Amino acid sequence: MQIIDVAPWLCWILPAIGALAALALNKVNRKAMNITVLSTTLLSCIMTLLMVPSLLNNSSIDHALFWFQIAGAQVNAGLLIDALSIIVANVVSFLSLLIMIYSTKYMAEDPSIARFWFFMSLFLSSMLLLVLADNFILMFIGWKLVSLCSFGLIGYYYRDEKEHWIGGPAPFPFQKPSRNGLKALLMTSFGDTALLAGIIILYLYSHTFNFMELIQTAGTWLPAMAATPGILALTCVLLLLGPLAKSAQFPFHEWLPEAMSGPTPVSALIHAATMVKAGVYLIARMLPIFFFAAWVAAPAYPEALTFFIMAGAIGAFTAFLGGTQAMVAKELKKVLAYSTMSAIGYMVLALGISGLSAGSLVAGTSSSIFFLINHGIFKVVLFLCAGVVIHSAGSIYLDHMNLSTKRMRFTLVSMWIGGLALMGVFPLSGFWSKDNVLIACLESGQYAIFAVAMISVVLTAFYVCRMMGLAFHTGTPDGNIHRDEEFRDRKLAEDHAHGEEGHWIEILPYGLLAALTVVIGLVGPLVSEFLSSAFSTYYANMGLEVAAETHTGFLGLSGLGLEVLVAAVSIVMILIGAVPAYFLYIKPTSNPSNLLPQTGIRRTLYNFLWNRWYINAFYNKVFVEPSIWVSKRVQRYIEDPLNQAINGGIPEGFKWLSRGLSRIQTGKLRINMLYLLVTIVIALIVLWLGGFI
Amino acid sequence: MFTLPFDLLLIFTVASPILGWVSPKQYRAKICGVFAAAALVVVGVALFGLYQDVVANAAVYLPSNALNFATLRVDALSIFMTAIFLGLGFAATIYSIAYVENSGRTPFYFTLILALISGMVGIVFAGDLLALYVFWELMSISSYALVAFFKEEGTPIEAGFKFLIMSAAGSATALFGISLIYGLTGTLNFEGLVAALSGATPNAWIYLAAVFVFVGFGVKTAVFPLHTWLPDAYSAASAPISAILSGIVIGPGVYALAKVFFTAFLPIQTAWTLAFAVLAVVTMLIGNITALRQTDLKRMLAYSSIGQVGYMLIGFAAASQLGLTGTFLQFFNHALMKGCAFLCAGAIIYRLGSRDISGMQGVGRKMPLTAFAFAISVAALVGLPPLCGFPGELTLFSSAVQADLTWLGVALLLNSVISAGFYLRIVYVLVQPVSSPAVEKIKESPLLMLIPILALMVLIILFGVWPDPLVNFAGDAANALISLGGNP
Amino acid sequence: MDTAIPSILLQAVIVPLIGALLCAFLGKYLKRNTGWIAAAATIYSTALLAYVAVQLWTQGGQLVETYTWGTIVFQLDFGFLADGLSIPVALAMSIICTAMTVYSINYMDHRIEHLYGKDKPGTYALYYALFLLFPVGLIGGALSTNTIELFLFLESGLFPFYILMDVFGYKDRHRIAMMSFVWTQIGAAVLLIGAVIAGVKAGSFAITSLSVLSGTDLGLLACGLILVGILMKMGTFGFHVWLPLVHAEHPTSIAAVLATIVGFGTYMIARLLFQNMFASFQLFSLPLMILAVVTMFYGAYLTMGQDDVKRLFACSTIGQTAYSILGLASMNAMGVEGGVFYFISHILGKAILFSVAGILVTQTGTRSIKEMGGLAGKMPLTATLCLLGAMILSAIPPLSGFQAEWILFTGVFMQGLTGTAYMILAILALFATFLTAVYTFWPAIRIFFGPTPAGMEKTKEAPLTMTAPLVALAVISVLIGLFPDIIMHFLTSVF
Repeated sequence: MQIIDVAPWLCWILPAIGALAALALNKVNRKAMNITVLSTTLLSCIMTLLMVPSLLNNSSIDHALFWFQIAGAQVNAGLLIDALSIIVANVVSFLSLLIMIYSTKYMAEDPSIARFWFFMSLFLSSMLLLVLADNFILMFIGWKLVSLCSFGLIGYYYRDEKEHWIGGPAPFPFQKPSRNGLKALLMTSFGDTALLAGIIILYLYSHTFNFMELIQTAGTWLPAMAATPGILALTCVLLLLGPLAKSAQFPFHEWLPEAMSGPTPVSALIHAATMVKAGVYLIARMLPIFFFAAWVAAPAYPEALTFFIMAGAIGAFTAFLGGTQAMVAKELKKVLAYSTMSAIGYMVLALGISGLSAGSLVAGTSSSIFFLINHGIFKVVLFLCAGVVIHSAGSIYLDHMNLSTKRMRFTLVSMWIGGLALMGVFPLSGFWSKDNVLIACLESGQYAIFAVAMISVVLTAFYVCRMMGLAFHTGTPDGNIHRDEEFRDRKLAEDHAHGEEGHWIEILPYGLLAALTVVIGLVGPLVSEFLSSAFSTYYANMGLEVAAETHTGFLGLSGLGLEVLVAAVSIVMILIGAVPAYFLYIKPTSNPSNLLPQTGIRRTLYNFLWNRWYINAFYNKVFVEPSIWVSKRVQRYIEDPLNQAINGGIPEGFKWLSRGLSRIQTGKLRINMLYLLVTIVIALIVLWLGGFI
Repeated sequence: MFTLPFDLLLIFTVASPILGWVSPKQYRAKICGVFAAAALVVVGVALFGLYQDVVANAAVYLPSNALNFATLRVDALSIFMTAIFLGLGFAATIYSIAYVENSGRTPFYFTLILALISGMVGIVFAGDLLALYVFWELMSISSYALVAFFKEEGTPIEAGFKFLIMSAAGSATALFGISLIYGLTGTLNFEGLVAALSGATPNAWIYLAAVFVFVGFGVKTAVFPLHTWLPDAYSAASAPISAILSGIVIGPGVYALAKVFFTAFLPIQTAWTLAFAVLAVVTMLIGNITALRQTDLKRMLAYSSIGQVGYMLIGFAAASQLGLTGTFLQFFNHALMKGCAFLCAGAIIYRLGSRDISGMQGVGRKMPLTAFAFAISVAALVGLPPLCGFPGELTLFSSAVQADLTWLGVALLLNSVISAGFYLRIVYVLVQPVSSPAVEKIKESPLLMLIPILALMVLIILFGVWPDPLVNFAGDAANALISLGGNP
Repeated sequence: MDTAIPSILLQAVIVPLIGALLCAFLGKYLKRNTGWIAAAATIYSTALLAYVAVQLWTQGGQLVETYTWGTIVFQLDFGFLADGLSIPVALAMSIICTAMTVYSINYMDHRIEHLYGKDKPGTYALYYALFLLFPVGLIGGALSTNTIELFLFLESGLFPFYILMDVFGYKDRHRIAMMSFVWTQIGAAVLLIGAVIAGVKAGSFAITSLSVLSGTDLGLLACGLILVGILMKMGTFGFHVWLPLVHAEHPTSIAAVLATIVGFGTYMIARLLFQNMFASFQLFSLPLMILAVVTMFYGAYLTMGQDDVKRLFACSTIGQTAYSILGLASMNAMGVEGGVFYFISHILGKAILFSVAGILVTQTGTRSIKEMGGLAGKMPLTATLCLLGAMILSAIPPLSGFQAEWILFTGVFMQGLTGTAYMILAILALFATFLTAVYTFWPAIRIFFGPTPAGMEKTKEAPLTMTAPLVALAVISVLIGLFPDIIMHFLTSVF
């Protein structure tokens, strides 16, 4: 047996064991519990690393075992090890390991840490299962389990103590962790429901759940599916809704900002670096099927383009939407949450691009995955730093922070590196992946998407500078910044030495990752080249004959010229966003709140963004409130009347009947005798009428 | 004189008052009761001997086994009915020993029971309508007397009087019908009637005769609208008598109707099957719905008997071997179930001194065995499997479906649901916690009451779980009647 | 196939009956420990059925035991049939009954003390003797080979059901006991009408001879009547008005069994109609699907509005059984397999949830969700069990609900591809399942999360006899979820 046969299985089974061990050891020994959990995570990380050599071989391996049978078929459980799954699995397990290490310090004083470990380990296990599964059903198990873990971790502070509320500040409503957990679970479930429908329809035509078989046999089952118009498009939409919900893309993005009520490592791991990428992964996983249908199949099925158009449009829109909301957010973690939405929008749009023209398959996918890797790393840096910052400041609001740049030097530097990478500043990792996405947009001729993506760059630059400025650089403590009189949790602030640097166990993970961001940035083109070659082999193995670089490029430019052009434009865009933010927040020349008069267009715009484009309110008005309204009335206006009519009315009717019938029972002899006579008479009449006598 | 079991029965009947006179006063009740019970056992043994003959010869003609002059004709149906009469009579007698202990007129009581049973046995043994009529009167007179026997309870005299007048009127009507038949055919012998009337074109006189015979016998059977005497009589009579009246006295009525309609009136069958179908539905509905609101336990059971009569009439409407099997089966089961229920009710009333259902809360806690038997019998009356009520209803229902009268079967099931409405009220009251001081004081029924109750309960369960022998027996009885009518 | 144990299926049915008698006689002396006799009896039955299941798995085929019962009207064989359909169903129901008997030991102790005070030893006898008639009825019903026998077993639970409700139920129990009896009795009557029509016309009551009528006009009538009878017992919309009341006011140990009885209709439809009267049954596809979807939505909204913890789970049964009906209405093997699988999964989940409700009622003394909150800290195991139950119902892997649900919906969508109306129904139905997550998780959060109200601070975890059976059920559900072949191996062998 070779290591590659075992490693994929072990890498997700080990954390599952770790999860159970956390529960088992909780009452026994906390130290042993911590060590067990960390070592299973470490082992799992090693196992994923062991898979990397086969990435270099460009091989794709499918380990399938018999799982169970259904009518007329059987379902196998198997793991698929190919370029896509290996890369994502490594990102997941590596980031998890570092975050788990960070958590040992960050969560050290939490009394119910066993629950934390359980969900974190289970999350890692199910995320790896999701990524490695070779079929939809097994994947779906991991898929739902990560949602469940997310639910458990967002609502980790299930008692809803006031210090764990998010939202606000005061005049604005707060949200409680338990409710946020439920919201995340339900919104993603909605998408999952659609995804399941898509999977089922796909199965009914293809008779397989296996990803590879789906692609390999696509030529045979697609005609039957396309025979009924609309089915293919419907399937595209249904299949996309699941990943969109999971990745917090419009219109399902509303759960992510509120998911920040979990502990910060959770936000870092699940709601920024990994779980929300599951959607991107799945879109990438399903993409070849629809690419085949749209471009490779002999009579092309244009309906399959729905998949790409929808992904591209929604990705671009979400990138913009997230960016605008991040610009006005007051909570540090919410800024990061919106930026996550926005960044994932980038990845999704890149995947959309890859199928919008015949030639951008590799460019789109590889840039998207490159972005995924980079974003995972620098977003973890940002979140982990944010955790330390929030602890240190004793508040979740940027307005309250204004931390010392001297005492928190490591955090400050790491966070700036992460932030600049997010902005896409040369030569950090984010620069390369963002430029790749932009180039792919241009190369495939999607100028509208390119434009939206460029605007997002401006927004990103603005909100990153604003965030950093408010957190670290804004003038004197009681300077010109508006400060809430009601410091939401004064006690927490007093307990902590204000502006304390994090513990070294906390600094180590994000310091390491910040360094990695720089390193990847330095070798960016090489990584990018490697990914593109890996994916072109990957697609070639699937038989998706990628047309050689036939596109004409943009303005006659191609290759290096195009790259330079895009890089230049994007640097300009960054400056457009960063410069105003610099003068507003980092070296403020005036109070930024002066920009916001009480009325007028700017206030309206601000309110619009602050209220998240009123989308949340819209959902509440259209879905939540009517549902509650209906459910409150079903009992009163349907169930109770029915109950009264049937369970009350029918017995009443019989009682009434019984009372009536009792009247003939007079007990008087003469009347009884009369019945006898009447019987005879009636019988005779009936006989006479019947013609018998 | 006739045949051993019947002779014995008559002898014992006559002997019982004499025994009562000669026996010492303080033991009189026990001696007479035991004598009557023993008499029924002896008759039962003798009946088994007769049954062997019937099995061998299909029908035994008496006296002297001569067809033409036969007064009595014993076939499987007769044996079947007699077995029920004797069985329930025996249970009621044992029960009565405890019940009538302190009465001064004990010998008459047991004599009357024996006379009643003799009358009924005579009816089912009768080979011609005249003999049937004579024994009918014997049964009627004994039953009036029994209803009125315990003067201190309620209004038994009035009830007995009403019962007497109604029944007498019925008898007279029946006699008129019988006369018409005789006028038409010149014979009253059942086989003679079949021979005379088969193939005859129906004329008005046959219809008239059918109406009068139906009304006459229908009074005793308590078919709507001739049922009105029944609730009064049943509730006024003492518990064992109610059990006998409800359990088996409707038997002769059903029997007589079946015997006449499936022999003499076969030529007009198409007319009366429909009539019986309608009457069946109306009767069961009236009985069950009226029972819903009764507060007097015995009255409620009395009404429910009317409902059960309605079920039995389905067999008439189906007019097939299967239907008659169902009718007889239902009759047998009804004797067990309603007999048991009345005996339980009697035991509770005996202990509690009240018949109001709402005052019985918690009786089950004090009299668990009685209450359990009551619950079982009531569940059987609803038709719940695996109790004996179910095979009867199933057979009747099947026969209705077979005869393309599915609606009749539906009415049957609907009624069994309605009847749950009042039957279950009894169970509900019994299992409640004790709420009144009157109930607090009572204790379990006397042993002599408990024995027949439990015996009947065991039979209810036994014939529910393993109904086969009973069904076969009822099937033989039905065959006997069908083959007598020459209708395969 | 053969087994080493003689009359094994008969034993599985009879032993609880013998247990019932023992309980009746010994209950007075053993008091609360009577429950262990009951548990022993059900465990024995479960073990026998598990043995049969293992044999069936290894040998294939089916096991038939025939005892001649009677010649009432027609030849009636009192037969028992163990095949791929009946064994998983019977085994699952037997497991539920076992878990509930163990659960009852503490729960009924509490209930009896609450209702009748401490010194009523007879009530234990009454409870367990009657309770054991449920496994008799359910196991017997699943193994029946003719409709009359099936009816007999179905009805055998009815009377105990009435008395248990009447004696041990919650508020308004007398009226509701009567109501439940009448409703199920009517359902049974309608079912019997159909069965007898079919039996009389086909000349035999054997379930397999239903096929004689399949496709004829009479078959349609019989099929329709049987279906309506079953739907009344299953509480689909229109026939459901008894279900929330009856379900909620029962002692929770029995409510869990009631969910099984209600869901048993799934098995009956699969066995009687799908297997044997397919040609007639398939005409009901569209109406049945519409009814199921309406019921799913109605059940979901009804459930969402409840504030009473027992009523909440009671209402959810309405929608949940409709899933199974939907699967059966899809008229293909996948749908039926999914429907039966979902039934098994649902009763596991519902048993857990109802028992959790029972635990909450016994430990907190209130049924109102509004008065609860933050109990996860006080009773973590119960909270976990509640969430696991919610996961089963809302089809979250790795619990069994997920596997059942996707198989079911594969069947439904297969039907959906045959016509637009079906497709719309299928998609609507799938989105109704989304509501399940709302009405299971939302209350769970209101009960177990958030701040703890003042009165609830002293709440303690329930005793082990109440939680352990539920943990066992959850483990079974996880096992089935991870290895669906445990169920599917059997089901695919018949469909």
